[in-house]
Amino acid sequence: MERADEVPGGSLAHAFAAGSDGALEEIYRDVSPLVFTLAIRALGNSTEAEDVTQQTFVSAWRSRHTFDPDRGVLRGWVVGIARRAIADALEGRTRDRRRLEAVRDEPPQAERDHIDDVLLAYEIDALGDPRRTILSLAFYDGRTHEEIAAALEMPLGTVKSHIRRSLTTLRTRLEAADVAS
Amino acid sequence: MSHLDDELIAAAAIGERLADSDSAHLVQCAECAGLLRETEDLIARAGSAGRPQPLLVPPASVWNAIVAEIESDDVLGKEPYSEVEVLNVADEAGGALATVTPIRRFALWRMVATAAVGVVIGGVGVGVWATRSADDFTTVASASLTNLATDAPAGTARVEAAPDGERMLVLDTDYSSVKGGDLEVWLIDPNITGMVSLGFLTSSHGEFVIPEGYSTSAYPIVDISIEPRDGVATHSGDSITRGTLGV
Repeated sequence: MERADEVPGGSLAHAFAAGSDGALEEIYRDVSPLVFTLAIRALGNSTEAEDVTQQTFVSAWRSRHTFDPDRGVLRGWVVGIARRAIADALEGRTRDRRRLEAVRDEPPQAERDHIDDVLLAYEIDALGDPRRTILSLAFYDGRTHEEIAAALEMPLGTVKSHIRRSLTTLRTRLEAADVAS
Repeated sequence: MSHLDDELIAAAAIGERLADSDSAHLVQCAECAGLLRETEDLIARAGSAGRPQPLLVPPASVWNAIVAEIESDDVLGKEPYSEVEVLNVADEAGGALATVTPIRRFALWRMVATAAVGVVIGGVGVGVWATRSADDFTTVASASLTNLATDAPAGTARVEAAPDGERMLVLDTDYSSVKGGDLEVWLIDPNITGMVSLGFLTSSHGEFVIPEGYSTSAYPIVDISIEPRDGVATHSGDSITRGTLGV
């Protein structure tokens, strides 16, 4: 599956920053499932998640001048805007709830964890094969490096090297989304 | 003392044995230790989250709403954005963006080709109709209007077609001026996601050309809203009168 920003500072990021026709549509097609899923997991409500998704892309487009395609990763930047929109929606809900004197109070940390989980899964998927498969086996399934090497008929050193490089990539990408927020 | 490179930190995170000097560095250097902890957290998080559910795709109405909202910026000629506006946008998204660079002019953005739904077009003239005789028109659709506050009847709307295919929405409805605002006439689709502004209603009788490409079967809802004079081209959400066109 093609992803935006496979190449950081790629042409889509530049087209977006320049306000080119179709650039928003392309980034929307690419990132809206991530934004929408993040919003649903955090808000538990698809109507609100739709609003957040809309708000995120409208804000991104209107403030695209503040995005520097040579410095940042477009996807991370958009996710940063989505995080703020989600935080806002949650805050608004807390306000409403206080007004209604409801008792249930969700800890914000739990919402943040949801977001981080979805983002991490997305980024692991975005690594592409063989790294996606190797990391899935190692992290989700808890398989040892030796087991993965045997299963994929790959030298142990190659498996480890893929894991090390993937970890670095993941850490950088997640930081990008975090810093942007 | 130089920092550990990323691969060494990743190696440490997955429990590989480092050279003694590298291990010693990790003990002393808060920055590298921090990166190691981040990487370890990441592994732990993936492990506890388990295999992810597939991502969900938002419904098409979300994209249409985005296009409508952005297109309304363009129709208003809102370029360049002032810094204040951009900051407001950032605020809406929940906190100021770190930096706001001075805004340069950007070209009018056209997305009509990719999504011709939900485009807001304002201020369509009606002059052309004055040159035709009333006998030329055929009524092709009509609606009874309802006052949304009281549910009382509020007049009628009808669509009249000229021989050349041009269509006009003719309104005969209750009218009273609104302090600090205007009454705006819209055609809206049944999902309330796409809409087109036909212009302002200034008396109890109004005639509005329907832009080409907007069929009243796709946009059957006639809506009159109170629009504050705030420079925002999108629908205020404050509808006072509605009716649905039928043949």
